[in-house]
Amino acid sequence: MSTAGPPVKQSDERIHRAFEWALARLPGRLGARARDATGGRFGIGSQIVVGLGGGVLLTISAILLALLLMTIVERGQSEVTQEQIPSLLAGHRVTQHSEGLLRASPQLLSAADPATLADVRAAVLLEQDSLQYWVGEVGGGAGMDADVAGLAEDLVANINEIYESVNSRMTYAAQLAEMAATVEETGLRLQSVLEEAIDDQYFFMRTGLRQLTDVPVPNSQRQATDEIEQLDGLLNFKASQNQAITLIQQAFTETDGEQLLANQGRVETALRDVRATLPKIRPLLRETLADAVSVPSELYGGPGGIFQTRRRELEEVGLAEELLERNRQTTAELDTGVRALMERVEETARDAASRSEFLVQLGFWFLLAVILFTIGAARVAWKTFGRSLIVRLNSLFATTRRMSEGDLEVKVEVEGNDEVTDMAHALEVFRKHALEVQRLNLVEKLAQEVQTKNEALEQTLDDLRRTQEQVITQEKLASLGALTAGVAHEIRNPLNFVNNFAVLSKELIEELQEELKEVAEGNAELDRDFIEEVLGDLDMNVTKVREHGGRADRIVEGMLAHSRDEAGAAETIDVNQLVDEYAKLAYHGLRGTDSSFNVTLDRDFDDEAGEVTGIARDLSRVFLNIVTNACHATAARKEAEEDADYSPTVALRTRGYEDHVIVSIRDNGTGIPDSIVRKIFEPFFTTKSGTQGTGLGLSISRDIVVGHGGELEVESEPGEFTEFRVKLLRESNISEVAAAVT
Amino acid sequence: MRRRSFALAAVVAAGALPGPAMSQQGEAATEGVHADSIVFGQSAALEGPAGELGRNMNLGIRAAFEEANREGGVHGRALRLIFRDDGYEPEPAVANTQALIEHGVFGLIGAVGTPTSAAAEPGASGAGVPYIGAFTGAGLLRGPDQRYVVNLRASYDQETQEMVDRLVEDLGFERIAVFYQDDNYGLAGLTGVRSAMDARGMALVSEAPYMRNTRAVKRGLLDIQAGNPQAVIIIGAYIPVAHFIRWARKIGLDALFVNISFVGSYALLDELGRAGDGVVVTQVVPFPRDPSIPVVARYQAALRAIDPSARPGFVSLEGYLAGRLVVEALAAGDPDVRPTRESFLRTLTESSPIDLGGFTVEYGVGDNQGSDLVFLTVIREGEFVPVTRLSR
Repeated sequence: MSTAGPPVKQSDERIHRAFEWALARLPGRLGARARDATGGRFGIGSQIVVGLGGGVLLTISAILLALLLMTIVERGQSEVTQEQIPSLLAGHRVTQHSEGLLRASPQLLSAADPATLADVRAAVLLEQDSLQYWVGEVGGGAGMDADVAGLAEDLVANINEIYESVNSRMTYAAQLAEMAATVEETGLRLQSVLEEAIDDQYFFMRTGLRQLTDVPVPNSQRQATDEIEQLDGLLNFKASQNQAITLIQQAFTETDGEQLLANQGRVETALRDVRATLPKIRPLLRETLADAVSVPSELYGGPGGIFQTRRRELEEVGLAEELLERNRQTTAELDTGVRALMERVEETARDAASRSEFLVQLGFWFLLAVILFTIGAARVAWKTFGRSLIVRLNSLFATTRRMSEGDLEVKVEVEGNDEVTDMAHALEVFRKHALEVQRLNLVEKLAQEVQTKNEALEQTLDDLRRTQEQVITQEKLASLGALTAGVAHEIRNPLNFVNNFAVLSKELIEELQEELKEVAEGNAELDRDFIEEVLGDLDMNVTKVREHGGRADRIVEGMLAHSRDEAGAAETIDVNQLVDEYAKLAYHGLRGTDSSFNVTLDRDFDDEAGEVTGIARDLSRVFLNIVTNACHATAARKEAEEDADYSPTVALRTRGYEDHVIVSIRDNGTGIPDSIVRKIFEPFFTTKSGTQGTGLGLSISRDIVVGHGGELEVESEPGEFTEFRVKLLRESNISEVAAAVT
Repeated sequence: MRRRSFALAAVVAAGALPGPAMSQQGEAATEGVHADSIVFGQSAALEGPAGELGRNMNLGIRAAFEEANREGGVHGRALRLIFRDDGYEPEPAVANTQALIEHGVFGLIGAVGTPTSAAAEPGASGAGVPYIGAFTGAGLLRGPDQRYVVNLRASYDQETQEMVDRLVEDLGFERIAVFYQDDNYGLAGLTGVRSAMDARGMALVSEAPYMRNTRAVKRGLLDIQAGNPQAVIIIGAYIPVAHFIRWARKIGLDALFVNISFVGSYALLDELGRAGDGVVVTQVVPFPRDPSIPVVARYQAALRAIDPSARPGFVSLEGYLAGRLVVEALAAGDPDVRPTRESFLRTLTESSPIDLGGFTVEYGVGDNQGSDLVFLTVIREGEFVPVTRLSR
């Protein structure tokens, strides 16, 4: 951990000095007020004002620059959107409507009737209006649009002329159709009248009959000159009339103007001929025929007559062709004009678009530059003011926090000449004071802690002692319980002996009394040998009773010794006897609680085992415990294995040496797994469930053996055997044993 | 913004100028069949020398239609008849027929005259419109491929054949003349007579034409008279024909005048009055004043129903029979299916023979003529009487 504050660089120093230098030289009242406010140095306030003010100035500059750029770009864009795009659209409209105009003339010419013609013309005028409008919208001058507009006007004028021409032609055609119908009708009527008149005249001239009721006139009358003239006139009339009608009808289909004129002359001649024949025809019929003749003569001649109308119609057809030709020319020019206009508009639009694009890109790079510049400026500002200030403040803060966490050893060191430095100095003073106080507090606190810990330790010691006493009592009770059954059995044996020998002795006494009574009565002589033999037997019996009574007494004594709390006294112990006795007790103890239990106790006692010095009560516990465990192991294996050939065996062996005795207890039970073989001597370790064991048996056994200066070892092969070996010294320091067990 | 945005998306506007006016009559598509009616059209002479024929054909058709309509129409559709006057002239007949087709008619019925129907029929057939019961026996309407034409009556050839047969067989005449209208009607009759005569190895003693729609018959009469015929077969219209017969009698032409059905029998009788006695007219329909024939009795009732003052006549009976034929053919169609022109024509050939009540018609593929019957009538004491053979 650094003990020094952040270095205030040379550059910072220079900045500070430069500021102060400048501040000192600020002129006038402003300078005085600034010096007053800053205290004449580059304090935090000044640093913040300079930093923030610089940042704000930079930001404002960047924004202004961006605004300037946006204005420039916006101008470029608006040129495109407000001038070029509408112009382009207008150009398209112009193309569209000029095409509309181009299509108009053929439609006018092909119009089937005046109504269609009027529709087409209305559409043309609409197109023209639109065209004029959009030509105006294209804008941009250069005269080209004026050309287009002019051409459009020309075209419209031309179309108007075509319209007028077509309209006139249609009017003429309609008039002609009407006249044709009249001619047809008149012709038919005239023909009918003529035919019947000729039929009548001819029939009269042949038969002399005019009416059904008439009587035939004489031949001279029938063939009279006037009758012949009448027929002649009628036939001439008919011929001339037919010719006139035919010529007139030809006029409707004649397309050659010259021929038309010629035909008109011929019609006039024919009609003259017709009129010339009229005088030959009788007055009554003449009037009818004259009426009929006047109709076609009116129709063919005159300003509104068939021929003139037809000529006008033909003229209109010619005119229309002329106009159409002119229309084609104007149309082509307009098309060219519009194409040129469109090209120019597109060109302008493309230019404007690329200008706009260039401006947008320029703006982009400029903005990027502004951003980079701002970042750079911010970085410089940070390096210059922010970092030194914040790093120093951070350092100060870190120091303060360490101090608050109790670390008062670090010296507060911040260089410079501003409020941070002032605070650092103040903190350093505070730290020194706090350090003093802390050291005093620490001594007092340590003393108090030692005392508290001592008290706690004493308390724990007491608890431990109490617990130990409880545990040992428990273990004692446990081993006593295991002993009781065995003791009962062991006592019953000597008692049986005592009883049996007592009964035997009583019989011997009765025998003796019988002998004495026989002698007294004189039935027999006193057999001295017999009496002595009986007395000898009695003596032996009493001795046996005494022996077995002593044994029972010892057993009871031993059991009592087990239950007593006081430390046992050291004595000489026959090892073989002790082992044998407590092995039996263990065996019978188990048999007492479980009658099905069985095990073979195999003894291999060394006569040289002899005696050891020890506390019999404690050592007996050791053997009782180990043998009981061995029996349990065989019982467990028997239960688990169900092998009929398995023979539970506990082998007891003693071996005497000069200064010690080895007692080994080996069973062929379940064995002890390696994982727990090391733990079996630890207190409270048990594999037995619930209340069956206290977990102290082997622990205490080991303590007892060790307390006697001996050793307790175990060797085991799981599933095969377990062997405990107890090494007991012939002579041992018993005092330690007592300490270990109580 | 990218320059591509300005890429000239050519917006080709739909033509702003209106195209040729397509004022298709909505009804045309329906073939004249509406939810509650079926419309037929008739173009015939109403005025003029043939006016009586057109009026009577119209009367007969209407009698048949009204009769059917009184019984609820055909499968719920009433039959309607639109009439247009063509004055027995071909051009108006063509124009009328065209107008009727555009208006939307199921079929054209009861046209009168050979020149008119010969001019109008191609337009109808071209539009697939049935051309039913035209009052003409001309061969022009009896071609095997004219499948849209539905003729009711026997042909002029059959009538002229019958005339020649009767004149020669019943009366033993050898001198026969023909007076005819100078148009294709008259020529049709003339040709028919000539074929019949040729077949017998005979020739006409004289022949003469007259101009249609005029009374200029007298020069022709003189030509006929020149042949000194025993019988004059007349192929004409009732006014000129009446004129001809009167003048013939006046100048003492003692011949038997034999007219073809188209003449207009009762019109002729009216024109001639008592001068008509002995004039023979061949007919293609039964005698209209003989109610013993079922269809005639029915016709008389139908005629009275629409015009109590109308007198039964050959022309209106022919009109009635044409109307009946239409009714029967439509009624034979599937009631649930909207009738079409094609289904109507199919019914005619598939349902043949059709008995209209003592008057049977039969059509087949390539045979568009329903009846082959020719009847003989003679004017006696100002009245027509049916006869089976001629006598003097």
